[in-house]
Amino acid sequence: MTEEEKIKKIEEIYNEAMEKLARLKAQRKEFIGEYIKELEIQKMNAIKASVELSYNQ
Amino acid sequence: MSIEDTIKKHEETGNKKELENLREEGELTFDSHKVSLTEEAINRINALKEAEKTTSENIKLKDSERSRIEHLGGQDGVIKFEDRTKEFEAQVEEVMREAQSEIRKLAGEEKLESAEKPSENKTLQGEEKIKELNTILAEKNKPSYVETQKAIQGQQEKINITKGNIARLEKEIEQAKPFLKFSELEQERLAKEEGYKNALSKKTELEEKIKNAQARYSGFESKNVTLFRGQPKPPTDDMKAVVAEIEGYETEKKSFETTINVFSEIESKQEEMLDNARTAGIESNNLIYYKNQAKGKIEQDIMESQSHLKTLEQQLQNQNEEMVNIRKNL
Repeated sequence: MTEEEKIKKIEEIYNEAMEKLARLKAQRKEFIGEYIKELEIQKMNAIKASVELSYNQ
Repeated sequence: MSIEDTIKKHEETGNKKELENLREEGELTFDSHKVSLTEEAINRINALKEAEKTTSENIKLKDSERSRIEHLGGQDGVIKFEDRTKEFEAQVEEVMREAQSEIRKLAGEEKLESAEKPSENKTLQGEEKIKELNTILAEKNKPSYVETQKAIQGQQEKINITKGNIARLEKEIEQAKPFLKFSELEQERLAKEEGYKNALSKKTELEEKIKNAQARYSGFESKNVTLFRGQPKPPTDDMKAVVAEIEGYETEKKSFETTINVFSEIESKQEEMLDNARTAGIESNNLIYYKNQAKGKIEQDIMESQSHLKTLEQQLQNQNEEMVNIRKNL
C-alpha cells in the first residue's frame, strides 16, 4: 500500500468511527425519549389506578 | 498559472531557489503541501480522542433529564438509565479504541510513538520535506509546520463546534415558534377556565331543574288522563306553565353549552398542536417546558436565542478570520 493509499484509508477509518459515534448519540437520544415516555405512561397508569380505587371506595 | 502549478513545475525541475522564494513571499499556502502519513495519523487520533471526550460528556444524564426521570420514576429510574449510559460509554470507547488501533497499525507504531514523544524534536523523523520546511520557517522565526497544522486543526474543531451550536440554536428557535400560538391559546384557555367551570355547574343545575319540572309535568299529566269527547284532555294551565318553565331552562342551558364548547375547542386545538409537535419529534420534556411557558417568556426565549445566535455567528466569523491569519503566517 502506498503512503497516499494509507492516508486515504486512515481518513476512511476516521469517518467510519465518527459515523458510528453519531449513530450512538442518536440511539442514546432515542433511548431517553422512549424511556421518559415509558415512565410517563407508568405514572399515568398509577394515577388512574389510584383514582379508580378511591372512586370505588 | 496557479500557485500549485508553479510549485509543481519548480519541484519537477528541482528549482529549490524558486521554491524558497515562493515560501518567503508567503505564497505557499498550507493546502499546497502534502500531509505526511505520520501527521495524518496523529491528527486523526487526536481528533478521535477529542470526539470521544465530547461524546462521553454528551451521553451523561443532563440535569433536566435527571430531574424529569427522578420525578417520574424515582431514584430507581435514574439508576436504570445510568446503567444504560454506561453501556453507551463502553460502546463509544470500543469504537474509538478500534479506530485508533487500526490507524496506528497503518501508520506504524514506532513512527507514531517517536513523533508523539514531546521530548523529541518536533520535526517528524524520516519526513524530509517537512524537515526542510521547518528549517526555513525556523529561520524566519515562525511556528513549525506541525505546530501550525495543529493550530489549524484546533481552530477547525472550534469552528465545527460553533457551527454545531448555531445549528442547534436555529433548530430550537424553529421548535419554539409553534408554541407561541399554543401559548396564546393557553392564555385564552386560562381566561375562560373560570367561566367554563361556572357554565358546567350551571348546566348541571339546569339539567336537575329540567328533570324536576319533567317529573312535575308527568304528575299533572297522570291526573289529567280522562278523555274529553274521545280525545285526551287538553293540557291544564299547570302543565302549560311547566312546559314554559322547561323551555326557559333549555334556552338558558344552550347559552352555557356554547361557553363549554368554545372552551373544549381551545383544548382540542392545543391537544392537536401537541400531537403535531410529538409527531415532529420534539422531545416530551421540551413539550412540557413550552406548555408551561407563557407567551411572553417564549418570545423572550426566542429573542435571547436569536441574540445568542448573532453572537455565535460573529464568533464563527472571527474564528474563520483567525484561521486565515494562521494560514497566512505559515
